[in-house]
Amino acid sequence: MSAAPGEYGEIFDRGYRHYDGPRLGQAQAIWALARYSMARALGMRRPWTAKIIPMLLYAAVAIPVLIAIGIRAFFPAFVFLRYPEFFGAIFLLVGIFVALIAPEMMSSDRHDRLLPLYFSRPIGRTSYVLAKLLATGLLTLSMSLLPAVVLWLGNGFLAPEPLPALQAGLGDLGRIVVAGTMIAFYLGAIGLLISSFTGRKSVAVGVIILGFVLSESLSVAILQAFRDRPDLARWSMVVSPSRTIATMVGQLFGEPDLGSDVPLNVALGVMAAVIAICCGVMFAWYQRRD
Amino acid sequence: MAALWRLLPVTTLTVRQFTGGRTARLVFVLSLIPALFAAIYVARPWDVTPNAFATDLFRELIAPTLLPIVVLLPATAAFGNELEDGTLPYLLMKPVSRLRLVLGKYAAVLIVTVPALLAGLVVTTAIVAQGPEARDLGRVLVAMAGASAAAAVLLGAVFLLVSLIVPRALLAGMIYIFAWESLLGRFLPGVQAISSREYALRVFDGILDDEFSSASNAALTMLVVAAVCLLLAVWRLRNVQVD
Amino acid sequence: MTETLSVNVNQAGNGLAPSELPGLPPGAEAVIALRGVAKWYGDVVAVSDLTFGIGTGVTALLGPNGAGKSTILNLVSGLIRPSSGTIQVLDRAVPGDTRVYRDLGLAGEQEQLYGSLTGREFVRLNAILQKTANPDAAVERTIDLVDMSDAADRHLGGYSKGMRQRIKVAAALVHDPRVLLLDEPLNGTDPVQRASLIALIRRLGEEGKTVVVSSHVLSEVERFARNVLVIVNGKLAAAGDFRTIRERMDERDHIVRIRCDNPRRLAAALVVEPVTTSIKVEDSRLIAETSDVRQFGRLVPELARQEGIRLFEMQPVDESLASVFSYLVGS
Repeated sequence: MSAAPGEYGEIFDRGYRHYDGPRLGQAQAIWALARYSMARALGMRRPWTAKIIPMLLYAAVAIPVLIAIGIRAFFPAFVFLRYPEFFGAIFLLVGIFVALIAPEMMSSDRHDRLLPLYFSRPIGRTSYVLAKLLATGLLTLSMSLLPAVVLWLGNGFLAPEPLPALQAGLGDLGRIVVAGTMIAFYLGAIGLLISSFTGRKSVAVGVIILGFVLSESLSVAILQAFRDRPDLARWSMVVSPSRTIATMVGQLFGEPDLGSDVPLNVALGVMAAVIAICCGVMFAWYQRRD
Repeated sequence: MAALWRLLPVTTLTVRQFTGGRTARLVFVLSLIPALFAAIYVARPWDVTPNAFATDLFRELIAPTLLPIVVLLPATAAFGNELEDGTLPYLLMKPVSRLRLVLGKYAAVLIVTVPALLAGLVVTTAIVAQGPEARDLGRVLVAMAGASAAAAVLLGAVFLLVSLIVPRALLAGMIYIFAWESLLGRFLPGVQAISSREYALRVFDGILDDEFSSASNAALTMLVVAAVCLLLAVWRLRNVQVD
Repeated sequence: MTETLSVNVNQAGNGLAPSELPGLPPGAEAVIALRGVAKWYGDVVAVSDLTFGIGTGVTALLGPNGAGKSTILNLVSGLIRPSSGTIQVLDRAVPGDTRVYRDLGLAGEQEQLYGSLTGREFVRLNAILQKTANPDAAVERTIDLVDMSDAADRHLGGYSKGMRQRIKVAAALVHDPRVLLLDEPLNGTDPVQRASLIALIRRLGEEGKTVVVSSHVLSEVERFARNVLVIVNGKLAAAGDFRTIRERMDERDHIVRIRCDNPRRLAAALVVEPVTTSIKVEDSRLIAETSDVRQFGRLVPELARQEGIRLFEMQPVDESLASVFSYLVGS
């Protein structure tokens, strides 16, 4: 109740403060949104029930790596887990992980009607999609790349002469990084695209997992159907993310039998194209959304 | 239509929610996916008889993968949507027994899944019948239909209950179905005893091999488990706190 | 007239006759009765020590956001279970037998409705589940009552906030319940809709229904409710007729702190006024006790102007009363 004598009816500019400081650009907006989306998807600031499934998945992926390193420690000659096998084994887990986080990132915003809130801010619609892709990709890297790097480090340090072993293994590290990163963003983009079509997380989860599983069966069926035309049959991998990844990993690590008989560039190109197409569809779709 | 609302308000509401959203459409499309595989087979057949193809398709694709998801989607959404949207009070604050609520939702789940599944199976079998030397597909169809219906009855009830207990029931259910049943089921035979797929396949094989007793035993077990789950769901609904 | 200002509910335990419950005039029957009710979630206490009764007519649940008003409505609705204490609605324990819902309706705060239904279908669904005798007639009557007849055939997904509020009220009313709970029903309504909802609420109260309306804006509540329950920080801070409460607040001595550029002069001017009960000067501050805060509030600027003193700040210091004060007097 403050009042100066004789000056009733004054309006105090108390609550609203003008901001004259530096204004950051789109890159920071994208990074901010990505950071927030990552925290939310992992269940931070939410009750423990939201954190169980991510924790379980991390555990599931960590255990083989730790076992492999442990075995290596005691039996240096015995290689329990090789990198191509690792990437093959984690496909299901990474798929489930993407099915966990992508709907959390995209479908929640639709369901909770946050889109008008976001789009009335300076973040553009394409930036929004890019931020989500960045977030999904980075988070999935923690599943697809990080454990492999730990394995690589373990292998290196447990070798009789660590430093030369690590140096010799740099080529492997490079391959691991390529494989892990491509897997993360490839599966992430597909998961985001599917999630962007619905506001119901559960529907998105179902379609993502089913998509990954069924596409594998579909490519097997195509392979069978075209077994007399191997030059055509090998393109069946395009249909199936798991087979595409297996092809890429196989070609990368010099074991072409893991996947289709398609050169590395083509496999990488297919993955990059899929990422681009997913982004393109999402850009177009969100432009029309309000 | 008005009569449906009067007689089965909860079921009609839930079916409307499914058709209004994406759930019903998805269930329908997913049920037709085996037909796609059948079409590929018929177009460029490979080295198996149509009969063998159909049974393989059911054993390797439909029963372990498709069937669970087709049932899980509406089963977890029936109460899941209400919990997520906060509309459960509209059902709870009524002089209607919790049993009626649970049965109403359950009926909606079955109404949406079973016809779609059966339609998909019929179409698939019809396509496979075009393959070379097709015979005795009728029995395969009946076996598939019986096993699918039994699985729907069981999984529908189980996941109706789970969605009342656990958040993100669908994801948890998927992880169970894929990671647990698929992976561990192969390594630990004991797991088979509590695997829904195992029982569905027993019904399937029983009908196929004309061993009625084995099929009916499995089906009966599934029915009993379903009933227990529904009763637990009623109990859980009485204690649920909505805020 | 019940005369509690800040209710010390340790006195109010079990075995109270209904008219002894805070919030009720003596002789009035408690339609809703809470005794020793508390609700906590782990370490967070949402409400505690709630003992009060609500009778027929319109009663307002007043309090700032987060005070626990929605929790109370959810407790009375039986949607959540109290961590301790008992709740009775129409002499039935809640949560308990679902038959109590024939006489109970809630228009809650949740935003979402069944998007794929039309307004009419939604209200009709509620009527059918309520086992109303003539659902179609009841539906038309209630939809008309909330002025939604034109929009009733549109899908709920496309409703504006004000339309959603009104259709929720219609759904809560369709079975003509004796008890109606409304959680911030005026939220998001435009002035015309607000006026008509307020008229509806008043009419329902006059018809002998028990209407509980929660709000955090006194000025709107003043127009339809005389009885208030003031909830602050999960506790009952005041209960009863709100004009009486206001007078009672005024009857107590209030402590006011004043900052000005010449406290001694102002103190000298104030000390002779009868409304001032005591005065103390500390550095540049004046601490005064007054028996009538409103009169004091008019007096001080006037005196300051006469004496040529510049006032910087005047604030009631008594914390527990201040929050109640600001709600009852309005700012």
